[in-house]
Amino acid sequence: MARVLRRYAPVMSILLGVVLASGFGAWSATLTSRMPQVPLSEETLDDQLARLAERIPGFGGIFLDENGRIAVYLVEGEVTTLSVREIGATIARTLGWDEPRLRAGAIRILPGQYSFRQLKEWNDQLFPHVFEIEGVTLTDIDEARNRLRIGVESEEAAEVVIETLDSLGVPREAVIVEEVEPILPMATLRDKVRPLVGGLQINFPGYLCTLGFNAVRSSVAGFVTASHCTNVQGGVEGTPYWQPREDTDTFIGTEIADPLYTRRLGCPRGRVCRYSDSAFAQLAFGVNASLGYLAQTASLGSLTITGSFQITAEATRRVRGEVLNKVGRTTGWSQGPITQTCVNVGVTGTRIVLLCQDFVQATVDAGDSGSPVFKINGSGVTLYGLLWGGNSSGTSFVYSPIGNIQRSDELGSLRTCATGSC
Amino acid sequence: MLLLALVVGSAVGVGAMEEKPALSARVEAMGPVGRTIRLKLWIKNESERRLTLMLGGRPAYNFLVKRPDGALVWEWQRGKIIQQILERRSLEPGEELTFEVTWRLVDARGRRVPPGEYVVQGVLNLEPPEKLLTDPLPLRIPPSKKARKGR
Repeated sequence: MARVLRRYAPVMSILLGVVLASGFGAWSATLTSRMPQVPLSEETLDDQLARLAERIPGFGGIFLDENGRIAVYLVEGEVTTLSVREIGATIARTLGWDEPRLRAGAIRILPGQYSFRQLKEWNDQLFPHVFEIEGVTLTDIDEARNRLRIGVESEEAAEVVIETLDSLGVPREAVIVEEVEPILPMATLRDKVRPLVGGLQINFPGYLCTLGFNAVRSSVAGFVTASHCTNVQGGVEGTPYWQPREDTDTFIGTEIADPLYTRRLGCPRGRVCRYSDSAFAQLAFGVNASLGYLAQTASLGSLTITGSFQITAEATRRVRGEVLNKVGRTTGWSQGPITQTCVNVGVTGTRIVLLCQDFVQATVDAGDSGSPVFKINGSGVTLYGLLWGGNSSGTSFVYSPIGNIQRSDELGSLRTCATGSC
Repeated sequence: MLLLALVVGSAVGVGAMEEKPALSARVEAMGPVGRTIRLKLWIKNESERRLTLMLGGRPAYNFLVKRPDGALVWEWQRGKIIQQILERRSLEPGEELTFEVTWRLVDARGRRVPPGEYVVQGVLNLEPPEKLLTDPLPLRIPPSKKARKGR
C-alpha cells in the first residue's frame, strides 16, 4: 500500500496544486494543512509554470508520462547552464512539490518547440477572442503536448478558430484545435442547461415537455419535440418555448413546423392521421445548442446530468427485441426492449391515429413527451425517434421512428448528428 | 368526499410553491342505465385562494372499479395510450373540474361483470408520482331484468 501511495504521490500533489491554484475556496482550507509549502495565492497553475520558465530557460511544460515518470519539455536549441538535478530542484522549489525524484534529478527531458512563456503569451492573447466564437468550449496550454489546445464543438467553429489564429499572428502549428464534447454542468434535466441538448425540460404556455433533439431543417437551426407539445397539435401557431421554464432569460425558440393531421390514404374513416407526433422549433437568436448531443444522466432513473450521448447515426431499421433508451424530464434515463413495431395507434381522447409507431417496454411518465429515443452503440448513440405516449402504468412508451419524422409529409429531412460524425 | 391537502410542487411561473391547497375529490355513479353506468369525477378548490395544479398526462383522469376486497375489476385508462405531457391548471376559489366516462359493466377483458357489490374510485394524476384519489364509492350492480324474470 505504501508503495502504491508513493507511486501516486506526485500525481496527487499536482492535482492538489491544481485545485489550490484554481481557487476552490472551500476545499483549500482543508488542503493547506496537508500541503503547507504550497503558496495560497491567486496565482494560477499556468502562472506558476510561467514563473518556472523564467528560472529554467526553455522550459516548455511538465507532466507525468504514461509510465508515471516526470517529463519536462525543454526547447531545442535553448542554452541552459542548469544541470538536470538543478532543474528538478528548481521545479520542486517553485511549485512547492516535495518530490524526491525532482531533487535527485530523475527527470525525463523531452525536446520541445515552444517555451511555456511563449505558449502562455499566445494563450492570453487568444483567450478573449476565441471565446467569442460560438462552439468554442475550452482553451488550454497542453503541458503534455507542448502546444496550445482549443476545444470546439463543430468543424465550423474550428474553421473560425483557425482564421482567428491567423489574424492574431499565432502560428497554426502551435495550436491543436480539436472537437470535444460540450461541457455540461452538474445539473438536472429540469435545470437551465446551455448549450441545449436533447432530454431537457422545456415549457410552453401552460405545459411541460421534453426537448427531443437539436436539428437543422432547411438550413434553420432548431430542435424537435412532440407535436402535442405545441399550443395546438397539428398546424403552426408559433408556440414559444422556454428552458427549463418561462423566465426573462430562458426563451429558446418558436414552433415553425407541425404538419396537419389529415384524412390521408389509409387513415380510418372519421379519423385524422400522421406518421409522427413531432414538431420543429426554430432556435432563438443567441441561444447556444449542441447539434448531435443528448443529456446523459448518472444512471438509469437519474435526473442528474453527468455527461452527454453523442448521436453518430440515425436508425434505418427497427427490430423487435432491440434495447432502446430515452432521456426525459420526468423519469430521466430509462431503457428496455422494443416490444412492437409499426403499430397504428389511436391517441386517447382525440380523433388522431399515429401510423407505424413503435412500443418500448421502459419507464415513462407525464412530462416525458418529446424525449429522444436512441440505442447505445459503443462510443455513440443511434437516434431512433421521439417519445410521445405511454401506458397508464408507466411501464411502456410509444415513439415515432426517426424515419417517419423525416418523411416529406412530416418534418422532412433533418440534420441531427454531431457535426462530422454521420 | 375526500378532502386533501397537497403541496403543489411544480407550478410553473406562479407563486404556488409554498401553498398547501385544499382540494376535494369525489366520484359519482349514475345508473345503471341499460348496460352502462356513468362515472363522474369532481375536483373542487375548497380554499379561498387560486390554486395551481400540475395535471399528469392527457387525459389526466382515471377511474377504477374494484371488488370490495380491493381486487381490480376494470380501469378506464387500461389499454389506452396517454400523451405524456404535464399541464398547469389553475383553479379559482370554489371552481370545479369534472371528468366523465362510461363503464359498460365489463371487466378488464371485456367480459360482463356479475351482479353484486363493487366500489368505484376516481383518480386525478398530478405531477408524478402524485395522484389524487377519491374515497371508494360503494356500487351495487343488480341482476338484469332477464335474470330476475327467470327466477
